Amino acid sequence: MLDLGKSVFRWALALLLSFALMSPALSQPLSQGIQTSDGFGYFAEGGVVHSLSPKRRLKKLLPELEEAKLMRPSQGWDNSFLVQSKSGLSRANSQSGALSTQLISKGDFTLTPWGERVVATEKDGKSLRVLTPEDAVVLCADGEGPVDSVLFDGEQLLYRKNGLFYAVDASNSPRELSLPFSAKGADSAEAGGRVFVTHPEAQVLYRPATDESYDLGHLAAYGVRGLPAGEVLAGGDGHISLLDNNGFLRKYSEPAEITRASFLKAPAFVHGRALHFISDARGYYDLITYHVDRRIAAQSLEPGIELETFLAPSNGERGLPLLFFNTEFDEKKVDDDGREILDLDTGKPVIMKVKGHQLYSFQGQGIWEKVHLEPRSRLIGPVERIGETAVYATQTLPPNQPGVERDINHRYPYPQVILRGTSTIDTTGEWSLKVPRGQSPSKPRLPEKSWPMLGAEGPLTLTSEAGRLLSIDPQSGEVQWSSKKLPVDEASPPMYLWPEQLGLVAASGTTKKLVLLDAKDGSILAKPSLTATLDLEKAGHFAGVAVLCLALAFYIYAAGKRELYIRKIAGLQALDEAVGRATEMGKPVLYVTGLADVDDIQTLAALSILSHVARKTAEYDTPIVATTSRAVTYSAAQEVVRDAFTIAGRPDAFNVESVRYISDDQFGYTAGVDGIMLREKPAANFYMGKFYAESLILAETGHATGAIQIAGTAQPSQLPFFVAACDYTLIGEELFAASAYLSKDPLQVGSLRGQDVGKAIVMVCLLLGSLYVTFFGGGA
Amino acid sequence: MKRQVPLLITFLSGLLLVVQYYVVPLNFIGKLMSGWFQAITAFAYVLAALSLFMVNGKRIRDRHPGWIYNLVLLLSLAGTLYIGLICHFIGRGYPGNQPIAEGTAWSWMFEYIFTPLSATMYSLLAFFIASASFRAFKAKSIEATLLLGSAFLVMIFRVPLGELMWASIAPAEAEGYMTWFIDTFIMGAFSNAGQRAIQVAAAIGLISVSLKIILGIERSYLGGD
Repeated sequence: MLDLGKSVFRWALALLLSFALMSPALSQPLSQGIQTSDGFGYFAEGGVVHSLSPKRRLKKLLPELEEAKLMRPSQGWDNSFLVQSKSGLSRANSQSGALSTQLISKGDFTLTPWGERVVATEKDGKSLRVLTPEDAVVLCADGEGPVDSVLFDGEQLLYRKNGLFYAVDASNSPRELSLPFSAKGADSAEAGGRVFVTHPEAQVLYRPATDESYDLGHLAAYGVRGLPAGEVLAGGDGHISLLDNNGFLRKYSEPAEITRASFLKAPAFVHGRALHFISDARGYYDLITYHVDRRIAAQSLEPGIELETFLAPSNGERGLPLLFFNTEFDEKKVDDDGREILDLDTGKPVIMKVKGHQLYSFQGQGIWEKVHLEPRSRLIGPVERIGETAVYATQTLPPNQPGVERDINHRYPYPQVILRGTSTIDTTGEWSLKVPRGQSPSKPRLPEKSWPMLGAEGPLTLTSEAGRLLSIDPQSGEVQWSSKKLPVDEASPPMYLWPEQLGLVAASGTTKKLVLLDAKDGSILAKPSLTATLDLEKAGHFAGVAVLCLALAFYIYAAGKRELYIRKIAGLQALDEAVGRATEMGKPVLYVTGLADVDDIQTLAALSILSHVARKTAEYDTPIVATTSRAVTYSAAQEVVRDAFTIAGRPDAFNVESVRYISDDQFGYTAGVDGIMLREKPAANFYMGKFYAESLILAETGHATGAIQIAGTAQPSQLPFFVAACDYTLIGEELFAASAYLSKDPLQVGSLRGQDVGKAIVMVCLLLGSLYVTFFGGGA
Repeated sequence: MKRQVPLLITFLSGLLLVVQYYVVPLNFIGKLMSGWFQAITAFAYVLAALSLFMVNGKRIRDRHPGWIYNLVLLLSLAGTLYIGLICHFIGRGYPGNQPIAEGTAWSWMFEYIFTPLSATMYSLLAFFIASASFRAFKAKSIEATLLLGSAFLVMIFRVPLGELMWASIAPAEAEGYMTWFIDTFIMGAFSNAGQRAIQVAAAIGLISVSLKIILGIERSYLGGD
């Protein structure tokens, strides 16, 4: 056995050394869908910039840029793109996969593409820049602002600085706008690619890009806002003026239900010559329709519903607006077996709320029609127009009726996600993706804001419950292709789209891979790994442990060659004395193994000492009672005591009642052990292992019974209690040294010397660290 | 073989768990083995429950002194099992509710028996601290006197009474000095340093024991050689 131990030790030592010499294998990079003209792709996965070579190899770049986000407005930027990170805004340039960066400015910027240029607005409007592939023009430096109302009208950029409006055109040089009213307090809005400005005390709507003014005929006290289809509203003074996309101005009067807040925020749209508002000013939804100079309809919806999404066609799109509402229904609560759940106080069935959704479609002439209602289902994920189809998803609970047992799908215990599409042209064109469980979209992996699209008109792509990537035609709801099963867990995998391939970050446990798929048919092209083989953040930890292990291993190896001195540990020397005392008094020995399970090293150390104590009790023919609070510890302790009796040559003296499981509960265990102390009056108590608040209750009870007590724990918070109430205490490392001390095994004794050397190394490091922090301010 | 197989399993398991901590693709091994441990624990509970019934049953049968406590223990165990487990399966008592739902007998038992009993045991700690402190804080030597003085200051000034006393005797500009002295000096420096020294030494001892167990040098937890 000893030979096996030595050979195992040598083998493990060689392995440890090989670990120390092994160079770390770096993980590969990831991207954000940027393709530079040199053929390399770039993306920022987990805030770290990665490159993807034409041969689909990944590389991690610029590790100094934390929380990086990449942006490139157009192909005109050639090999360049922008990187926003914690360090600031930088311009990166790719040369055959080698990335060089140039810091543009420190700070956190919002980047907005403007044709070939990018407008960078610093957080809180502190500064404003226009960026080109080669240059950065500062429109407003830090300290000159703040800047707000950054809007685009074709080739013109408008912004407001210190209350004044400025315009920037192709020359990138700003000029102050001359408005037909005071700039102070003016309001601006963008709609359909046009920017309009007005003033609450003016009766004019002004478009700076074309220098056009529109006479409203009333004050624009409510301000100006744009509508989804590109129309512009200016309201106030009892009127709302609407400027359509052809430049014609219409005026609506008497908007009694409209306040300034609802004018600016309530969903609104134009159909024909009528203006429609959806107002919740009265606590429920009014669908108000205005015709020129008169209000013609106000349809009120039932109370208790909540508007989820208003979907209106954008500029140039066909179709009718849709309203998606969440609602609730009352149902009797039923358990999985189909039994009604009764209220424990009243005995009546418990009523619960179940969510549902309903869909209204605008039919013209101020009429909204409820076209879809589904109880037990709720809207999840985005509700979005794709082409002429509104695409949304619902999660529908299975029917839950009294007397009907629910069929539980243990593989997919949550309600199925159903993807749906509704035509915005007419309500007859509906589809829903009804597929077996596993093939339906995965709820945890649904997007939050918008459906991921492989092209402007689709297909949209989703990950199924079984971990396959699906490509779905948004117009028909047909699955165009389904990939092979991907190594994804329940996390939401980010995706990156390059011109010819789609990258999906497949995370499974602690490993990540970039699965590259052909965007046309979903075939997997490559699966390079994104995860480093070695966790470099733990390199320092590994180095420390390796040094200590090497010191220990060296002294274990050297221990056989000469005898090593071990200082006396009073608590361990007293072990035999305590057992002897119990023998003389004819009373049992009590051994308490603490509250931890055998996966805690303190419990293992306690079991090692138990082995020694049990052997002594067997030799002296003294009863031992070992108590445990964990079932696995109980099994292990029983084996330890049984073997100790066998080694002592007294297997017949072993009593299965010597080892007792008491309780997993902390104070139940404490009460049980206290009871043993008071009833059986052991003459020696040993407390070894992990203890919490029960330490002093045990030790004081033992003290009251007059037993000699020896404790050992590595819990610093419990040591004072044991020191106060016990005769001897093994402090921290002494508990772990006990086995070596008691066995006198040269290999184990060598480990004690190794521990001392380890402590010396730590002390030197602490001293150097303290000196460095004190004299060089390293801590600051 | 009885020793070699467990030692081999220990070596391989220990090595794998060390390696998986640093090698990311192998991290799943840690979770896997943790799951195995849970499964083993479930089996071990059967043995532990058998032990409870055997040890206590024998004492009741033999009318061992204090056997009534053993009877109470077994009745409590059987009662809890009946209410929490068997009642739920045979469907009586709480139609449609889980056994631990609020208002059930199991919940009542937890709230009105188990919690007060636990609290009672815990509250004993206050008395035991008093008696242990009375014995420990004796000015028998210089070190013990320093300990006594420090303990007195910490105990007194951690309660409002101490702050009140200090405010009545110390000038206004000295307000906060005692708190600083206790928090930063006694607790932050001396106490903290002592605790960390114990923790560092214990951590090194822990590494040492782990290495010895992995390498099969430390075998006494298996019952000795």
